[in-house]
Amino acid sequence: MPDARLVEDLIVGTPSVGLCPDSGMFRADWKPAALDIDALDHETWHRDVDSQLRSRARDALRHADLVTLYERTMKEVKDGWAKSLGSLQDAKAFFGDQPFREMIRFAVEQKGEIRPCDNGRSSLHNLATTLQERLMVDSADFPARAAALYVELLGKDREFAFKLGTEDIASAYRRMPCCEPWYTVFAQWNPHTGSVEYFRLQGFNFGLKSAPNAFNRLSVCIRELANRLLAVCCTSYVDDFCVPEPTFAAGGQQLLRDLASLVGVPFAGTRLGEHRKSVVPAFANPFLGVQHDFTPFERLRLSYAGVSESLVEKLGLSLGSIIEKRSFAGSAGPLKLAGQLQFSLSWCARRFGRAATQPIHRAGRAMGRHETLDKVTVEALRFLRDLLVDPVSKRPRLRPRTFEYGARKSRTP
Amino acid sequence: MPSHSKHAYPGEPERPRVFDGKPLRRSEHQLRADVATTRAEMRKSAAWQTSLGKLRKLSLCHGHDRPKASEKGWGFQHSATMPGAATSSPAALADEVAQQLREAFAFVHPMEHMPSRMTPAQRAAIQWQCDQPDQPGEINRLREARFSVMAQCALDGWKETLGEHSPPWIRDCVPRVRTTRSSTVASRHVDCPMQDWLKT
Repeated sequence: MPDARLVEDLIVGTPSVGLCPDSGMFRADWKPAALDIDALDHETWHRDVDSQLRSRARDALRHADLVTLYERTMKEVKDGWAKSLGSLQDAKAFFGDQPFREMIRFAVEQKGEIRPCDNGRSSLHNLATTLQERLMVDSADFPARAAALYVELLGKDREFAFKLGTEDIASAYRRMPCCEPWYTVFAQWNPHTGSVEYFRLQGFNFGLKSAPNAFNRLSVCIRELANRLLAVCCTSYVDDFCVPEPTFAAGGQQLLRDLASLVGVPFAGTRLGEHRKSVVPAFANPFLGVQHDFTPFERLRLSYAGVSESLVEKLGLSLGSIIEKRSFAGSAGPLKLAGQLQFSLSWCARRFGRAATQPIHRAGRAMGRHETLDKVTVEALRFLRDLLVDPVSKRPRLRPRTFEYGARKSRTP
Repeated sequence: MPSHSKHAYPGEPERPRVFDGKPLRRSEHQLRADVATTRAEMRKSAAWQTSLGKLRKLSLCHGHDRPKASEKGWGFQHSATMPGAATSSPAALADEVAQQLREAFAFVHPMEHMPSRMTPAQRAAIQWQCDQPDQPGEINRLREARFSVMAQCALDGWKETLGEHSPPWIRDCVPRVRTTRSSTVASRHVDCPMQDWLKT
């Protein structure tokens, strides 16, 4: 493995800010820092953080969100990933002469749940980070590619069915140790005491520019060990793993789980299929938002893949809401929306409708989230909404794509 | 040994660091140097040499080429315009749009270059599976044996010795303690003729 420093970094920790190591695992790409974190005025920032958090807490509409966010942090404390330091004065006493710089914790809604995110952008952590490589991740068509290779190697007439299962590493970014815990501190409003509370974190914050690269060194290591030493056909996308294998090689997913435990980065749940993020191998399962269906594979050498109906429905509702408000306020923003539309359309309607996403891209570059949308953008959004969801039946219109692996000769009776 | 930390720039002095109100006994440079020394000792040990030999023999694929460009998902692979695009006009009528949509939905993936877009390690794993005898459960029996060998190569003793060099915030991390020991994981797996194969 080229990442010769991984073991050392697992023992001593790896930097979260400043010059981050070049693992050699990903594409070489020099992205220098714009500033030096040690040259920043941390005292002024501490005062800014206090003022920002107090100002947000005064907004009565945010109270419920702040309570939920605090509960999520308390769960992290209970699980041992975060530790409360108390007030700013307590945090200063904890780190002594060592300067520290906190991030402001805020809530991000993901799949109907609140996910804590630490703002490394506003705290300037991300501007003070130098990366030497660009992350390389696999794509959602991996199960179809794997099936194609099995067919190529075994020949079209060898009978076998095909299943896929998925795994997920819980609290993924916390698993990669950090060598500078004074730069991964976060602050948030404690709604019970009515004060700003400081926490230190194990591993990396969700929101640090360095976190994806750091964690993926670990993730790729597990994947490569499974491929090379255990002969398990699998891939990884950050903390998501997929094991697509023929039924004659069943058992690979359990071995991958055992390997992850051996390395010390266990997957969710204590047993395969016990946790909702450990999905047992089946003919039809989703991977990275794409539903793969290998049910007809054994008989017809066909599979289907497309974005799930629920995702299309959700996207249609989101577009409807933006059209009604005539602004992107309250949505994930035009660029994220354009990305979701491009992903959904490319999986179901190939290049159809992509031109209509151009006004959304333009809005992302040129408009504020609260500005009123122009007529062209509204028309484009209407077209896309009607493309996703049939305006009459209200049913998702996009259908899964067919993958053909070559017809088999007819079976002899 | 240079650290990857920003404090490792040549000529830059390291500041004494404080954690939990106490100055840290060893600097990051010193910790990395100590880890390197312990690892050098480990590499000289018979257990390491044996484990390395076994794992090398077990590996289906060696080496690694640094990726140069991102592999695009299948939706981005084909630059050709969609079916029916050549006959459409800028002022396409609704039925033309409907026709284009029907053709786009009917499109079957051409599967060009699909198998070649696997990593060498993934190809090696699939090739190994395809080369095994066509007997029920045989592949998994051999893979469990491979896992058993891997678990024996985990060198728990050295892992603990190296872990002693971790700074307090890593050493005292609660979830780290909860992780399963190699021997516990391995106990579920059976030994098999793989042991004899490895000796050859």
